[in-house]
Amino acid sequence: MSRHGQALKKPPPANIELALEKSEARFRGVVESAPYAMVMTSSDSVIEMVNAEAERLFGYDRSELLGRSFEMLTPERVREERREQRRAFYANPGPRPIGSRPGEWGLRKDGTEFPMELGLNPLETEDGIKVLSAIVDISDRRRQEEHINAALKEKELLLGEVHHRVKNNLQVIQSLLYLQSSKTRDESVIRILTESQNRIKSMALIYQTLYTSKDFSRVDFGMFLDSLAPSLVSSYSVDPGRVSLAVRTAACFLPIDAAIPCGLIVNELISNALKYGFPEGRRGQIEVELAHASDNQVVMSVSDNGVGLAEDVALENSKTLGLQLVTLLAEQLHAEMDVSRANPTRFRFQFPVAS
Amino acid sequence: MMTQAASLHGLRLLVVEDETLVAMMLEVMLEGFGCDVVGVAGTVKRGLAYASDESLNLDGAILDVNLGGEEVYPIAQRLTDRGVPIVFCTGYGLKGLSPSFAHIPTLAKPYLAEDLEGLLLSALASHRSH
Repeated sequence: MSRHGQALKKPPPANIELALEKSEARFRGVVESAPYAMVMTSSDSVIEMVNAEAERLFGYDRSELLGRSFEMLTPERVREERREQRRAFYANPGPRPIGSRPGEWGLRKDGTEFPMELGLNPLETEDGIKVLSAIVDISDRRRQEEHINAALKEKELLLGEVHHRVKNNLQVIQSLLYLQSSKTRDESVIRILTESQNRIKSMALIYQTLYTSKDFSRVDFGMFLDSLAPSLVSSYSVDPGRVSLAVRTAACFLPIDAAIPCGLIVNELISNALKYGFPEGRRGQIEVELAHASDNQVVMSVSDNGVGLAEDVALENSKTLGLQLVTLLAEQLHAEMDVSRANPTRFRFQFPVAS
Repeated sequence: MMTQAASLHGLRLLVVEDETLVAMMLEVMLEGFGCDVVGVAGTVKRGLAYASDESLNLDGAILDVNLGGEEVYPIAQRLTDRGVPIVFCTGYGLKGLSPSFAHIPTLAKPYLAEDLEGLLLSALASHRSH
């Protein structure tokens, strides 16, 4: 309040000069003790003031800097770009906060360079607009960022390798079943072993999809279905011209703990449709659809226009492993399951996923 | 075994695969198609020896891309130089293939017998040398 009162009074001229000197000394004091390197330049880039931190950072004594161009503090290769930036700054002077322009480089007296961040503040003075630059050496931060990025990359590589090995092991299990089935002529045993191979293959494909998409937290389920579906059709030796398969998926990514049961459900239902839906050369189509019903709800359906599920096929206490798996895996997914038995035969699941 | 493909019958094939059980499965699958597996190699060195042996009269080769950390490409190169058609099997996806072999027909692991048969029919049957 009292300072305000003083300003209103007209002080004698001698006091003005004293006040100005005091204010300038205070300004220099603030700049000098700032934790950032600070450099004040005139509109033609001549250095007019530096602080102790600037001397330390660039390795010059202030007598070597005052009166010289700011360009001496930037590497030759970026000087032209800096001139452009200065022209743009003077065309529209206003504060540029620190870090608003990445990729700045400083040049020390000993010729070494360092990454820096630069903040610019225009100061209006009676000699025109001056620029007060605040400069931060970000070498340490840059090194830490590189370290974190390297660690992240290593984590991705390791995770990829783990998924890859899981998939290889699944393939070895599949090989064992195949070898076993090659030792028998019993058609029912061969069928059981083939179905088991398909189940293992569909799990392996989930890992394959994770590995190839390089996204280890979620599975691109459309990509998975595109590889699963055709190989199922060929494994039941069904002519794709007789029973066609349509996969319709909007961009849909599932976390791995949902993708595996989901993949197995689709495997069972397509297999079921191929085995029982189209007897005696009947023609038709199997459709798999998957879409988000909302941010955290997914709807998946497998339908076919084959002969339909007979009324005596129980769903809850099914005698076939395939349908037992479907109901149990649906429970695991916390899915609501709706079944239409014919025209078309449709299994529809709605389940929550973390959004 | 389960399917008999007349056009693959009698083809003389080399298998290069380092995972013993997968190699065994591949052999049984190929024999099921009526093919003659004339060599199975699990290393680049052994594979190169087979690939260079003209007395084997190879009609084709099935090559796993990654052999325990070694890449199969020297074998692939030797075979293509000799005009022997090849197919790749890989668990690393098509994107993992070396660009100079990107045009080679490739089967993604895991695969079933039917997947393999389809690929071989399109890739090898037309190259039959005898």
